Amino acid sequence: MLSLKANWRREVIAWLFPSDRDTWLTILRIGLGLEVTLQTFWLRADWYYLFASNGPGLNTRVVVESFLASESPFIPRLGWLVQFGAALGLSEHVTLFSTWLTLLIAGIFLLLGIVPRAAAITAWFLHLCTAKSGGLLGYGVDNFMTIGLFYLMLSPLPDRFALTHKLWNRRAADPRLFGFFRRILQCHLCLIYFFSGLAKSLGSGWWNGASVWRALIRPPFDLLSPELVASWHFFLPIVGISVCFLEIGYPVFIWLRRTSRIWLALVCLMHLGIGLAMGLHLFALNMIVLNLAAFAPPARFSKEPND
Amino acid sequence: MPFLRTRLLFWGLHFALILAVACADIFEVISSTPTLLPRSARTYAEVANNFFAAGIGRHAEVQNPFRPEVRAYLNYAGIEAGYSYFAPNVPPSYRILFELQLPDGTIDHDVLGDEAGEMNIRLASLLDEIGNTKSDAWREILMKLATYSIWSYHPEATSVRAILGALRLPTLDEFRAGAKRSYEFRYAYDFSFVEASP
Repeated sequence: MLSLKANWRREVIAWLFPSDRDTWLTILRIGLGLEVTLQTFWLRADWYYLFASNGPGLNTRVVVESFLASESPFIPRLGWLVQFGAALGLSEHVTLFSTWLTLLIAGIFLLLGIVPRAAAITAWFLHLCTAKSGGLLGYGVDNFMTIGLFYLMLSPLPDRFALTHKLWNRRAADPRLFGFFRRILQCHLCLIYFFSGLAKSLGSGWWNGASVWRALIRPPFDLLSPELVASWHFFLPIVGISVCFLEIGYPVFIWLRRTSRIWLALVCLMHLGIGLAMGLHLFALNMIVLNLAAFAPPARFSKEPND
Repeated sequence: MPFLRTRLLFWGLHFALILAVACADIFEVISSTPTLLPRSARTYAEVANNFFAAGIGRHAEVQNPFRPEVRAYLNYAGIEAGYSYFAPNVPPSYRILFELQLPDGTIDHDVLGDEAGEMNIRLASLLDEIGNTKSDAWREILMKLATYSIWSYHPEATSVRAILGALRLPTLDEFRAGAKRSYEFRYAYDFSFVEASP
């Protein structure tokens, strides 16, 4: 009985800490670096509109931050940075611009792999501040970026392809640590898709195609003309049911050798479709990056440890 | 492997929180929206939702001595929200039409949510919050903020009427029979602007 328990424990530990290469971490770092850079760059014209507490703009930051403070005093927010800037004699405008610039630089550093750990921590903190303070204007991509950056900053950086590693030839981390952090990302994705698919399958609209129809013609996601979507009416129930099946089945089929590649390809195609048809480009990029980092085949079946 | 137990404990707790948030979310969907499940499931789902929501400190009125720490960690890790996007069914979308009264008596119009790309998606989130909230006070605060942002581009306006409409999407059959999208009136607010006293 004792040996059975010890065996089971050994099996679990071996599953949780497999030796893996750091290729997945490179995908995650470059993907999230690109994401942070693009998002920050695209929001450059609206930065003050979104986050300034006075002047022309939405001015929602102060209201949102008062709710955040009541939820927990420890949740990062732009108000902290504005206060810190004020103590140094900087105006809100200057502090907000500095935040934007630092976030952009952190994204570029992540992309290139320059001091990636420091860049990941900076990007995570500043992204969290902006996502929380702009909470009323946030959507799914903010949460998934936080998830990705949170795992990235805790992972054993730098990876072999990072500039920092190439220039200073840092010693690579224990391959089991690469495997362990990848397992965490893999398990989290399984939970995300399972619950997402489960919630969708509870509504009749995903079985008869009505939800696909509504999702595609609902502003601001109505990039395709309703006439075009209506001309594909036979496919709408198939798409709805496929999305439910793909998501609920993810925690099973992504692990099976025979189906893992096809499942990964289908999920990435689904996100590509969402990105192109609904204009959710950043969301699509984020989910594809997380999926490739977690389950991309070359590293998925690689048994050899890091160089 | 160094710190094996600590690592396992930390990440075990992390995944317990992810599960609790996801369960709270799914039970909230079942208890508060029409689903394919029988109506009796709503009562059980509400109990289950309250249980998980208390664990993750979702509601301030429920006692949880670790609420600030738990809420902070959930936000740090990006796991404070569930994953029921567009579920169980796709929700309506909203629009705010502003009627700006100008000093010469004419009326100008503006709309929130006619931006391009990324910003448009973000404004849609704000409109969803305004349209979906059950709190009249919260809706009025958000309408005031939205109106103020529009007014800052039309400072000559003496008053603004903000009209919130919910978009009614035709079903596929209705669309093929010639029906178009239309807006249903939900709320209207009148705001006037006075100089703040020094």
